[in-house]
Amino acid sequence: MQPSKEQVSALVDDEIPQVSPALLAALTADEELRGAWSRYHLIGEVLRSGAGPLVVSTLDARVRQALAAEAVVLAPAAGLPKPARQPAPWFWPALPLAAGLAACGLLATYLVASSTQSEGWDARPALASRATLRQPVAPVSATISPPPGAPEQAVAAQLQRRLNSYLVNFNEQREQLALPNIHPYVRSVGYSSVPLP
Amino acid sequence: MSGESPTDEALVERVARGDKSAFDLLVRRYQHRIVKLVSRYVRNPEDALDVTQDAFIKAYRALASFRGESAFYTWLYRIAINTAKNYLVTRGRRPREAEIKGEDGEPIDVAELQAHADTPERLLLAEEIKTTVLSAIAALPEDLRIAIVLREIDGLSYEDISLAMACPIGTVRSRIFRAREAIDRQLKPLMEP
Repeated sequence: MQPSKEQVSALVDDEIPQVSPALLAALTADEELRGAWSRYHLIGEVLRSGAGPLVVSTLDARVRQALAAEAVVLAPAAGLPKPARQPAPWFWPALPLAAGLAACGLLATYLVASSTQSEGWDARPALASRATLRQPVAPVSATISPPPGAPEQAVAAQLQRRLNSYLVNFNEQREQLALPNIHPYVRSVGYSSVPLP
Repeated sequence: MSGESPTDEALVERVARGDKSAFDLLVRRYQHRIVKLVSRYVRNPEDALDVTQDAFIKAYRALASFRGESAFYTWLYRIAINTAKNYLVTRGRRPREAEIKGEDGEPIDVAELQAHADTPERLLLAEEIKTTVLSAIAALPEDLRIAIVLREIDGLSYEDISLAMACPIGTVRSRIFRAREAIDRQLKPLMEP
């Protein structure tokens, strides 16, 4: 059955939770529906651009042409379940203890060094000492308790996704706060846990 | 918009199975946002288009390594930024973070920025599109106008819009579609070659 433009509109809005392969196949095959897909997105861009500049791109034809010469991407990994996690090594539980001992050792070294230094001719205030600056700083971390039953990995992944989304949205929205005639291209930030090409 | 998208996931899966036309839909979806992003780094509009195209090609080639741990757009966004920065490096220019100081009081060469402004044809097209869309929206019946604005500007889900407008989700979906169609009738002639 040929999908309707209303379905395409809902697809643009990500309001079709289970996207059927038949719908996508029809969309990719039908030029009229593809055109509607493009223009529906453009309408959104216009509305979101507000008083700022509108960047109109007609790159899709160029990219299509360039991709025609490309080998077909076949990624068996995509869509397949992720590989199972390797079991933790036997010494894994001892790592926190080792880290604690190392931190105690460093602290003791620092205390001994600073007391020796203060007794000498170069008794500078501890805060101004370069040795202080060289000390490793214990990371401050916010503890986030996963909901009962949720594995910590899932919580971390969710946090990463939210952080990524936040950074992307922030970068896009801050442009509208920029001064006229001055490109707000500065200080783009981003975060990704995925290795990039 | 930048969160997880079932549509993107489905399209990426199709590309991974060898369907290039599914990638075309992703290009059509994100090209405006990526060009806009790249333009912050690359001033010359033609170069910005080249860099954007390059970013999409890189993304296509690297799609095999995309594991879906982040949203597709987040991944694409990072590729685009890296491509733009690499472009500046190869052109012997520092990435623009180094020029940010303008915000802190150092003078910005506005004349130079204006000299690299977009081509008159593209500026005219952008202006025409904007005027057409905005006037088409202004002419919409109120229920359609509110629905499309809540969706596109405020980014509300259909469920939230249905609560705000006190109507079923199916009605929201229909109103947004009808609004788009009404705007599209005006927009389509501008986009045809």
